[in-house]
Amino acid sequence: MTSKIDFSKLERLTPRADSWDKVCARLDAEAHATPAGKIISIKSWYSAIPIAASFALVALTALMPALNNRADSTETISINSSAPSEVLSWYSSLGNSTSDDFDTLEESVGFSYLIKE
Amino acid sequence: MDDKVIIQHLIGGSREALAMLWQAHSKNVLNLAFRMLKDRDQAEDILMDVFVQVPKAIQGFQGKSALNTWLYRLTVNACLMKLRAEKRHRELEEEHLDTIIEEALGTGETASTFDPALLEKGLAELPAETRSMLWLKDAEDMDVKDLAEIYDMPEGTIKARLSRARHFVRDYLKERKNHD
Repeated sequence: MTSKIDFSKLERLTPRADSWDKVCARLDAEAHATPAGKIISIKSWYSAIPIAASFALVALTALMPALNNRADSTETISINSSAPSEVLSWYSSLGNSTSDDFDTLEESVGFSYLIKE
Repeated sequence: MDDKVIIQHLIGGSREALAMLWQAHSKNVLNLAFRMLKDRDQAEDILMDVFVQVPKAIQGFQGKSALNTWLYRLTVNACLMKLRAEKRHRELEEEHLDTIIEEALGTGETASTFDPALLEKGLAELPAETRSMLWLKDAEDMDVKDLAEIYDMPEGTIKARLSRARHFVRDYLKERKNHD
């Protein structure tokens, strides 16, 4: 049986007079809630993180030579110009001795040199 | 204005195109929502929700169906979501409906003798989806093909559901009149 149900006697509603205005107000509110500056949505953060990591890597690569240059430019102080005579004589005699005993520097001299340094 | 032109303007964000869509379809959307939800205020809310949703949703519209079919699909989905959220979608499960129909087979009531108030009650016994389907077919004269698109079901299923729903409504009316 395919004869239709008669809906003609049922009430047909008409949208309320202010419904369209409410739709417009909601659309306007949505438009204001998404300002132009808010370009990066939450989803796009997923792609923003690897991009930021790439930038950081490039920046580090660029900074590395500069850091190396700075390290090279550090002043090297010769032991000859700063150490006392006891330390110098001990230092120059290292490896020259024929004995197997290790020629140690006197503790007090070594400490005073290190403290000075 | 042609549907295609309206769609183009809607995709471009035209408020005038949305107003034209409102003029042409808001009444149908409201009545469809009312048939599903049985509540005037909720139907108005759905109407507004659907039209607020249109400017974004239209961006994904491929133009494979008619604009009104697409709009009804949005409406049906919005109503189903509301019904599910409110857990009111247990009015009459399909199995329950089948049992009732099997128990009350038999026709004879002609459409012209329907009492509108009783018809409302009979329709209220149907599941929301089936009720809206019956409304779109018999009151809005939509094709089964369009209904299949709106409800995402095979045409055969739509036809079977419509047939069972009509049987159910007629039997309901007959039964109630016999009781009076």
